[in-house]
Amino acid sequence: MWKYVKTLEYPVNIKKKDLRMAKYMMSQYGGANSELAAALRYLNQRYTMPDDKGKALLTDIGTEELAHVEIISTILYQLMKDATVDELKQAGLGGHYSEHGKDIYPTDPNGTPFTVSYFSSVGDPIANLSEDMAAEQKARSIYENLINLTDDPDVLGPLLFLRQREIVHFTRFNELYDEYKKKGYK
Amino acid sequence: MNNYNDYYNYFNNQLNDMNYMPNNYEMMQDMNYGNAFQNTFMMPTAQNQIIDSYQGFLRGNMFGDLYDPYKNYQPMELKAQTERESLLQQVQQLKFAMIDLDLYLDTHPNDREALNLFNSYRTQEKQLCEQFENKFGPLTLDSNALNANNWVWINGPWPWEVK
Repeated sequence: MWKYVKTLEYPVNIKKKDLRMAKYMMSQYGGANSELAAALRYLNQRYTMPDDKGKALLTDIGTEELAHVEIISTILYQLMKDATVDELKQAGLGGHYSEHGKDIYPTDPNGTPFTVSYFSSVGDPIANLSEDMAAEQKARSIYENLINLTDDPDVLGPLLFLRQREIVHFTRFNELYDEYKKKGYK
Repeated sequence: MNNYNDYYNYFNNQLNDMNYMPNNYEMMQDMNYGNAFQNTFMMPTAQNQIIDSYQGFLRGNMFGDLYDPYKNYQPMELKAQTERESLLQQVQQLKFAMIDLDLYLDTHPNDREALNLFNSYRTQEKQLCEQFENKFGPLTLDSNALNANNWVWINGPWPWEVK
């Protein structure tokens, strides 16, 4: 089961509102390669992993991804909270505001709502792990795009952290994948 | 027991890789077949260079040889402004060390060095957590800080609030 710890995994203290960045950040909240997609992907795939290592790794990484969902939510909330309606309109968030006010909601930057079609669990550990590795690389790449879109150090800190976590996750999935290939889990 | 294979099967432990021996054809195909029988009787020590928890936390990576910087960006300095922030940061740092080592241990469960390191961080984290909670309130619903005059769990600041 999940316990809640009343802290973020990494601190987020954004002092300057930035509505355009908020719109871009929605990519990692409700987009195809978002932390939410990652969490649900791994937590769904863990049940049929062929051994304990797989069950543990997918549970633990899935759990960490939930913590990352929380970080992205926090970034979104802090970037938007002091905005006026006018500022939201200017930044292209008028549609978001009419649907959600200043609430956050899992969509991508274009307002497309999150869908579970963004991830798979196909019943084969090699296929599943291949997807997981690809997902981590895609997320890393998106974090690099997001880093390129800002120069606010309060936002860069969490983005660099989250990007590095994708690299570590990829490595662990890769290790498991190699072991499963050697063991003949095709 | 005469059939040791059954013994190992029964316990379903990781120590016996005999259950998972690839067939001979695969063995020859695998150019690196010296490694095909990665025998977990030999406890591998951490080949990775595990760095200190402060640097590891700033980077988001406890493993020095795994660290991959982006362009010229250096990890951001985390300057705590208040005592609460400072203590919380130390707790976050130790929790992070545990998380990263946990993921490593999931794929290297017999690495004794890493395991000892994990447990030492876990002990430190418990102490720091208690220190924080005594001053600033509970971080979880298991906390002794909940022995208060009222239900302090609801008290802010909540993690998403700007400090």
